[in-house]
Amino acid sequence: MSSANPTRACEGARHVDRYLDPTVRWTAAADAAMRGHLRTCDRCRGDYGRRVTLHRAMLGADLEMPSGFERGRMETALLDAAAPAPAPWWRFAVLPALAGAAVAVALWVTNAVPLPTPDPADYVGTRGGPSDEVTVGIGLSGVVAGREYEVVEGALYLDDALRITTSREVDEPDHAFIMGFQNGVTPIFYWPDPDNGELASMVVPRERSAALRAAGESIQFDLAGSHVAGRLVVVALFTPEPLSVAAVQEALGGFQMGEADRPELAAERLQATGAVVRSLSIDILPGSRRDASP
Amino acid sequence: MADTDLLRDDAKLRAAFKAGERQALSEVYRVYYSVAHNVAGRGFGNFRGFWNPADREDAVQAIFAAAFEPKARDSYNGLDPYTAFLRGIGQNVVRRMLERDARFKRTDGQPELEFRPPDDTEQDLIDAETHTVVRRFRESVSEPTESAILDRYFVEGEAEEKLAEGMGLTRYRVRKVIALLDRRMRRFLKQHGLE
Repeated sequence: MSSANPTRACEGARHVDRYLDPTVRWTAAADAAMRGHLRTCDRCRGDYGRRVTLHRAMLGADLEMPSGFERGRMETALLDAAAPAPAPWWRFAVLPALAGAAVAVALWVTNAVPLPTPDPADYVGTRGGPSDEVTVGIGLSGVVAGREYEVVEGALYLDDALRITTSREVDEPDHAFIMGFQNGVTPIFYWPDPDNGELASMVVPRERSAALRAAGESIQFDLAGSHVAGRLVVVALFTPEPLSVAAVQEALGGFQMGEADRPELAAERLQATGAVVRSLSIDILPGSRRDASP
Repeated sequence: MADTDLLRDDAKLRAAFKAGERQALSEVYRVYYSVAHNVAGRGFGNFRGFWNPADREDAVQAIFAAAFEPKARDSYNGLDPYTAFLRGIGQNVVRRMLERDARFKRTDGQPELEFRPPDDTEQDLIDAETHTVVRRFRESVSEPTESAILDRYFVEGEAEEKLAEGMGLTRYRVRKVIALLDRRMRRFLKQHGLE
């Protein structure tokens, strides 16, 4: 069954793992994602309480009060939001390389076959520059009656479903934030899904052409209802740490899809997040592939 | 005991705080953490505090987030104790949380200011027993450097740089010990069937 807002696997345990792991950097986005999830998930809220209490007991600390380590995590998250530290040097190194380019686009069209090596002919835009190696990417395919079909000539059909795949060949960036933009349509959140309590980007597997999955099953998004016929720009932001919905919205600023002639502008704006940006552009046609195919 | 209040009494810190300087916000967070924690954990008026750590710590974060807003920083007059000012912000934040979240809604139409867990004596006993077992981990850390880092980093929250400087170690070495202690804690939990 396809859905624009599919049920997702519970993320809480992974958030708490990272929260209590001193070898993992903690950020405002990670904190917001974890606490946002805990507000909506009884099971994870209970699990958080059990695990932080065990952590405190192991340290011989007060069980009612966060340990110094936890308070450090909380403080870092808060200060990152209230008074961000200067951006790390690598952003200054990477962003200028990206800024001159229009949009980093890797149209890795996928089918039921392994992801091919990107073919220059598939690219519908320019890459970020020589320093932006293609080590992460996204692909799109259509799904009708449970069968996946290739995006032929850059088009999908409105009555069908959309399947998104990610490809990652490096350890980091490992988190992906994937959105869709169309004229006259509110920006569409594919991954994470804020309506489902997901408030920050999530890890995608280090694989080529891995479909977005939840609860062990690949996700597909019904296009009808949440999309319209016309141009669709899908933008993926890859970062080494979780990227919050709030940070993405801030980067988008006053971008009004209804007023914009070019949804591609969204991808340009999103470069302000400091993420590695991949976007691709396709047409959504009325009807179904089933009707269009011979 | 003298009536002292850091932010009220230290004009330089207050100016830096109002300007939103990270170092000043950090100091305020550390000094006044217990104020926000008490509002969230012990409550006020008829509200007896969040019993669940997730709600309690969510409230603490929300209280400081509100207190660190430029408008809130500006509105502190520097004459009254900041403790009282922060407590006021905290109470408003908690009230909003109680109003907004359906989990805290009472059915009798009264303002929801009492949210307590159901009594569960059996679970309390199990928890107490578990915590007794888990507390033995602390006793198993006897090597002086490891013991000091456990106390100073994990319990007290001292920063890595300060720890390294204070203990005459490289930061790399401190990180190695932190990672080692973390692995041992996880292993300990696993051995006792708690992870």
